[in-house]
Amino acid sequence: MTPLETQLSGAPSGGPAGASGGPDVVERKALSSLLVGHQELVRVAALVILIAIGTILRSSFISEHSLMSVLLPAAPLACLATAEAFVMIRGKLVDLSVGSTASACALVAVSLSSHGALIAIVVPLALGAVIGAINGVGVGVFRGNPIIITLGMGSVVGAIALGRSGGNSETLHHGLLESFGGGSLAGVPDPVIAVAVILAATSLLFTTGRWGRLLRLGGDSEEAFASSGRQPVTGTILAFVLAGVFSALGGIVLASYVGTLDFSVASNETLPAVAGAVIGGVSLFGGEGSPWQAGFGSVLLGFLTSVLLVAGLSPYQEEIVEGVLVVAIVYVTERLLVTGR
Amino acid sequence: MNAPAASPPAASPVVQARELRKSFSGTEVLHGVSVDFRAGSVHAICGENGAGKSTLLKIVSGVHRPTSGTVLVGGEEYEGLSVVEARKQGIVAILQDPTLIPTLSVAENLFLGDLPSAGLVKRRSMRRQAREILERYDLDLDADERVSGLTLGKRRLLEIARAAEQQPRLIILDEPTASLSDSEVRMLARVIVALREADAAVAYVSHRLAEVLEFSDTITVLRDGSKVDTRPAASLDEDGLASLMIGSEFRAADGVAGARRERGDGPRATALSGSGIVVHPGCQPFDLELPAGEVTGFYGLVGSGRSSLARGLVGMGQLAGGEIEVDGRPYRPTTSTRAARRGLYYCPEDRKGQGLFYRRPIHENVSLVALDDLSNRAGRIAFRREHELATEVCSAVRMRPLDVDKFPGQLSGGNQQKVLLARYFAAAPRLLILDEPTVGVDIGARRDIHELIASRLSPEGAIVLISSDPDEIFALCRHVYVFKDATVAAELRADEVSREHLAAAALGFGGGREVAV
Repeated sequence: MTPLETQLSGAPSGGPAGASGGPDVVERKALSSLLVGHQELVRVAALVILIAIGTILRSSFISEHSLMSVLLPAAPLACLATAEAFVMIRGKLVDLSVGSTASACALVAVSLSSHGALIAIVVPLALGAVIGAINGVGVGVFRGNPIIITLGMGSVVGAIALGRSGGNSETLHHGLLESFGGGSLAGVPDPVIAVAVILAATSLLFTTGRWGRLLRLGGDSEEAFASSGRQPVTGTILAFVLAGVFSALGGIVLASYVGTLDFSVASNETLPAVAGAVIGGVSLFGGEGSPWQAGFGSVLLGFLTSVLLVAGLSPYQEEIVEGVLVVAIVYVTERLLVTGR
Repeated sequence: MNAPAASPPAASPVVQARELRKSFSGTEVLHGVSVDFRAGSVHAICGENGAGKSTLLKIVSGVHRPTSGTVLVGGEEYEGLSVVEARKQGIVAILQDPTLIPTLSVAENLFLGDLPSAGLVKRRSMRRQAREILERYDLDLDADERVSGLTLGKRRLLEIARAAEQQPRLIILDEPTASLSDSEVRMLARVIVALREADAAVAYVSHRLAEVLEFSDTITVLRDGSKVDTRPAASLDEDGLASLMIGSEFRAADGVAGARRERGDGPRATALSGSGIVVHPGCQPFDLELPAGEVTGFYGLVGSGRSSLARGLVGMGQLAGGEIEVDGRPYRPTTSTRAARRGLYYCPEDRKGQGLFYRRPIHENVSLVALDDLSNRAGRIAFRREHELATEVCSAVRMRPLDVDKFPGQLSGGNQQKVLLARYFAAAPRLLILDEPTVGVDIGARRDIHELIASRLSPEGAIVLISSDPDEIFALCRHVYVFKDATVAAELRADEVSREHLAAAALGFGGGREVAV
């Protein structure tokens, strides 16, 4: 028995006139290309179905208060998912430091809030950018493994934040940032509006600007990028800096409405951030995706969580089910994307 | 190894395809094709991409089930052969993707699944038998070498030898020469002779018509899923075969011959010149001069250092030494960005892995090198202009269908190659290095690409054509560097450029001016 059988039955692709694969392969391809072609519709449908299920389980699910209680925590998560989106689009990369970065920046924002909102926003953003730049140089210039580099960065940042704060919680001072976190417009919390506007603007710049185009192309194929007379290093650094900035933004938004927090407030948000980006349609293989997709994916994830809780699962059970579901969804999404093209 | 029953007399067919039809998603791609494969005879299946060659052979090897029609083999008639049944009947297919295990040695791969053992693998006897097999097929390989160290072409040959050892009734070779160097093609020729002498039937698919004519006894031409004709190979020549394949009178690229002749001997500016270039440490240094307005050929066997030189010149790899000038000014190829700023581009050989962006639409693929000119100072891309430019260059390269919003993967191989070329033509490069631009494309696209290269030649731009195909070099170049062992083995000019000279020089036997070393 040689490997030939296995190979033959694997029906190598690339036949003439797109005529490769048996009938079931063709059918599966048709199905997945249908889903891929209408990805956005599928996601909107999923959102509608989740809300419908929630409403069936508990009629108050669709009330404004209940919907907003899902959207509010989705706002910082959307920022972190966008951070992941940038590095993922850049190509097969992932940033495991976003949770720690967001936590540290939230802590900095809170402790600087007595100096006014501007300082409490700008300083953490700059800190995020620096953390991202170090990650970017480590991965892009020194060719470090992104998982190791960002994991190490995460624990360094977390440890420094712990040391500086002594592990104590800090509380937001009265001021602009606090009133922003608690405020709302037409029933929608200010943080949700702010994040939605920022993501929309970033998406617009990302899709129409040269930098976004270069990031996507470099993420699709580094070799092809180089043979077009470009270098992928700049894009790598840019992607990590953006990831740092958006992690910091997530931390600031979180701080604005949580008020009292410690160094680990968002430490567990890294995996949900990756999940939100992938569920929203950002490819783990690079080259595909946009900030608004990451944002929408985070909202979907938020509703999934709350539906599971409404269904009567304890928070622990909920985390188990959600973990399994997220892995399944990520797997299926990536599979569909691969066979659909 | 299970040998099939003794072969029937040479004249009678061992495998017969009868009125095979095949539809995919309601579209019939094979319209009742019948072919007889005879023992001791090489039967070539020719046709352009999409003609139905692969579908036909996949039915015969059991991968596809025909919509109607039968395969007659070993006295049994199969309506739908399975892969396992095909194997039992001695039908072996060598497909494009290699099935060797790279981390094992040549000998181990030869005996994969059938290791000589008595509890433990008998290494010595395995090695001895492996050497015998390699000798029998005249393959210049070391039995102990790891497969990962072999060139793509040698792997291919090893695979074919392994299949031949199983004494198949019918062996199917799909594009076996696509990755083979000239000397490896000679080795393949010997393997085919051995197969023929062992009374096996050989089905042979290749785009290289000269080889088809040389290797095969019978040729069946398919066009658009129908059989055009089956003829003895001796009754056809290259043009005749090409005409049958495309269904009209075939002429090699029109503009090409003109492009070769037109260029007089007037003084030409030098786009790039290099002296004392060393590709890999320890290799012989050589000089290089690439005049503008001309296609310079880099000919040589696969692995002769042509691609390494090319990648080094555009900053995608490192050269071990040498002084280079572009437009008379010194140039150091450190990064691809710097090369692009001086107008130097490298169009890679492997369009799947290194050339195209398969997850991005065609217009993004094409506009990348010109992107800076297509965006304003704030970095916003002018989408309409981008679209116009992409459509313009794609129509200039005759990409079909002309829809730049599609993805590259939706096009045929030849059209994908055109998209890749379009990207560089969108930038008017000072020096464009094309690495094997017509490997694996059908003859129609090949002709288009040749015409394109000739017609796109501007007085300012130099083009380098890296090719292992002497016909291609001969058709397009008046000035050829022949490479061997990562250095220039010979330089041929004008009348010295001929098939014979090229082949001789690549192997290291004179031909043209020897470069003093």
